[in-house]
Amino acid sequence: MLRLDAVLESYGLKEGKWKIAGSLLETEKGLKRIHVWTDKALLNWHISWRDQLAENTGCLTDRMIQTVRGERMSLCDEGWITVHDEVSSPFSYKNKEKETGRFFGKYYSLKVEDKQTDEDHAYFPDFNAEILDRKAHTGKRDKNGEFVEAVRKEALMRYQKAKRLNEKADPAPVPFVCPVLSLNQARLVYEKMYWVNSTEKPESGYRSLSRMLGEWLKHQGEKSLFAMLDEMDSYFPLKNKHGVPLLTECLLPWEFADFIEAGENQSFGARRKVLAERWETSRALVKALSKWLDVTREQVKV
Amino acid sequence: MTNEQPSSLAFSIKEAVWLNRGNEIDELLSLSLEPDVTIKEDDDQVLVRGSLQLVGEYRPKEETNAPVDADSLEDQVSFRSVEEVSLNDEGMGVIRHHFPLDVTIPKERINRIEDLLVTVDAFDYELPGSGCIELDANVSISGITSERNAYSEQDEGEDAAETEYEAGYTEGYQHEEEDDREEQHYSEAHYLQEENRENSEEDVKERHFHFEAYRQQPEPEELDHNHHEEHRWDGGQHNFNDYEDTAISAEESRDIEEKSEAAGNEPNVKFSPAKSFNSLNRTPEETEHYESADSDEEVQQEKTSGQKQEENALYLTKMLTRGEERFTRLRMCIVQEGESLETIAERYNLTVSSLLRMNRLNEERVSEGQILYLPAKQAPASKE
Repeated sequence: MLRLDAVLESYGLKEGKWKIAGSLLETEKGLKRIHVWTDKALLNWHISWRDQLAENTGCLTDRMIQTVRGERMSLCDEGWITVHDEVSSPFSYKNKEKETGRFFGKYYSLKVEDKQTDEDHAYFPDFNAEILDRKAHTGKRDKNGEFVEAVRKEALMRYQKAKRLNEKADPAPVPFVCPVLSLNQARLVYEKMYWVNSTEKPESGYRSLSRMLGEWLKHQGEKSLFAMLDEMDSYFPLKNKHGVPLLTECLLPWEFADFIEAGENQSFGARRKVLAERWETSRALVKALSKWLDVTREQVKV
Repeated sequence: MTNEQPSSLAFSIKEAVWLNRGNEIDELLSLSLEPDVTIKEDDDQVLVRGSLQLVGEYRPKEETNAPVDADSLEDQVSFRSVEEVSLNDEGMGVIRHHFPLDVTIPKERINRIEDLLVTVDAFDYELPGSGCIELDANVSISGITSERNAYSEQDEGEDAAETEYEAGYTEGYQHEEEDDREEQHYSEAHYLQEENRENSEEDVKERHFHFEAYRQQPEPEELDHNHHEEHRWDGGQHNFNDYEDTAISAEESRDIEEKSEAAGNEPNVKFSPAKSFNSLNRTPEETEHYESADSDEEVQQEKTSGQKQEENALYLTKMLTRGEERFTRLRMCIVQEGESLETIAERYNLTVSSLLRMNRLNEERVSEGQILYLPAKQAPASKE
C-alpha cells in the first residue's frame, strides 16, 4: 500500500487525500492518477512513448509528472510509481474526424526506439490456427456442438481468406505502439483532446488499431470512419502500405479463439452472446474497411 | 362540403436481398414478410416506426470456399454473421432481414390511433440466382382519414381492392382481379434508386420504390377535380460505393423536413431498402426517404369505414408456413413435385376452378416450383 505522505513529499504536494486508495489522489493541484510499475524497462518505454507522442502529435497526454528532484518516477515498495494529471471530462469525436484522424495517423506511425526502422516487413499476426482444426472440437453433437462447428467452419474460412490476402500484401513497417484499449482514452481539457495512455506492453501490429476502428464504426458510423481514415492516411499510409495488413488483422477470427479459450468459465449462452457481438463488429469493420480501400483503388485507377 | 373518409397510405417495395457468398440457397422452404411496428403519438404527429421483418428458412447449398480472386476487396473478404452460419436442427439455413420503416402522419389525419393498421397486402419473391432473393411487396397503412370535398363515401365491399398503378413493375397477381375493380390513379410519389455495387456486374441493381396513393371508385365526374401530379424524388440516384450517401445524412434529413413542411400535413415515410446480408446490423445508412404526394391524392378509401383493428401488426402474409389463416388475405403456395391443381385445391379446401381463375391458368397442368395464388377464405382479422 502506498504511503500518502511519501507520495505528497516526493511530488511537492502540500495536501492530498485518496479518492481511490493507491490509485487516485485529490490534491491542491487537482486530481492525480498514480500508476505503480514493476517493470522498469516497460516504465522507461512508456516515458519515452508519452514524451514523443506529445511532441509529435501536439496533443496533451498523460506524461509523467516530475518529482521535486526532477525525476519521472519515484521508488516504492512494489517498484516505482508515476503520477499523472487526471482528466475525467469525456472527449466527443463528433465532427472531429480530421483532428482525430491526424492524431491516430501520427500515433500509429510514431517510433520511439532507435531500433525501430522504416524497414518493411511481411506481417502476419500471431494467431493460433490450431483452434480452427475440427479435431480440436470433439464436443457433444448437441445443439451447442452444432453451433460451434458451424461457426468454426466460418472462422476457418476467415482465416484462410486472411492468409490469402496477406500473401498479396506488400511489406510494410509494422506499427509498434502503446496499445489503444478504447476510444474512451480521449478526454477533454481546455477544449482539446487529452490522451490517456494505457500501461500495457507495447504492441507490434494492428490489433489495437482494428479494435479502435471497430469501435469508431460502431459509434460514429461508416461515413465518419471513412472521413477519419482519409485524414489518417496522410500520416499513416493505409492505402499504400498498411491497409491490407490491417484488413488481414480484422479478418482473423479472434472472437472465435477467445470464445473457445473462455472455455467453461462462463455459460455457453453468455459466451455465445459475446461472440456474436464481437463477430458482428469485426464483420462490419471488414466490410467498411474493404469498401474504403476499394474506393481508394478505384480512384487510383482513374 | 367536407367529408372525412378513411383511407390508406400504400407503397410498394421491390427489393433484392443478397446473401453472402457461401450462403447460397439450394431450396427456399419458407419466407414471410411481417410488419413489426410501434405506433405512438408525438405532439401533433403520429409516428409509425419499426420494420418489416423478412424471415425464412432454406436449405443451403453445399458449402463452397469462396475464392479470393474477386475484383473487389469487399467481395474477397466478406464473411457471414454468426446468426447466418447458425443452422437450425434440421440443417436448414435461416434468413432474417429487416427493412426499417419510419412513417410520420399528422395527427389531424387520424381519427383514432387504434385504427391505424400496417399491413403487407401482397408479397412475392423470385430467386434469380441462388444468392439473391428479389422481393416484391405492397404495404399499406390504413386508418388514415382524408378530407375530401364533395365525395360521398361509398362502400365498395369486397370487390374493391388496392391497385398498383406503376405498370412498369406491378404485374401478375396485383392485377388479377382487374376486371372486377375500378381503378383510379390519383398520384404517386415515386422514388427510384439505382444502386451500383462496384466491380460486380450482378450486383448492379436498379431499385424501384413506390409510395403511392389511390382510392376506389370515385365519382367519375369528380375525377377531373383531382390533380394528377407525379412527384419524383430527383435526388434518388445513388451510387452505392460513394460513402457520402450511405447514411441518413444531416443534409438529407433537413431535406426531408423542408419537404415535409412544404407538403403541409402530408405523411412522411422513410424506408430503408435491403442490402446484402453483409449489411446486417450496419450503422444507419442508405435509408431512403419517401414523401407522400398531395394529401387528397394519396389516400385510399377503406373498403368499409369504421373497421377496428385488434392488434397492431395485424397482417401477415406467409408462404409455405402455417400462419393463422385468419390473418391471411393473399396466400400462395409453391407447387411441389407430383402435385396437381386437384391436390392443391383439396388441401386448401378450394375448387380447381377458383384456382384456375385466380391464377389465370388456361389448363389444369401445373409444374413443380410454380407459384399459385390461393383465394382468400376469409377476410383478415383487421377487417372483421
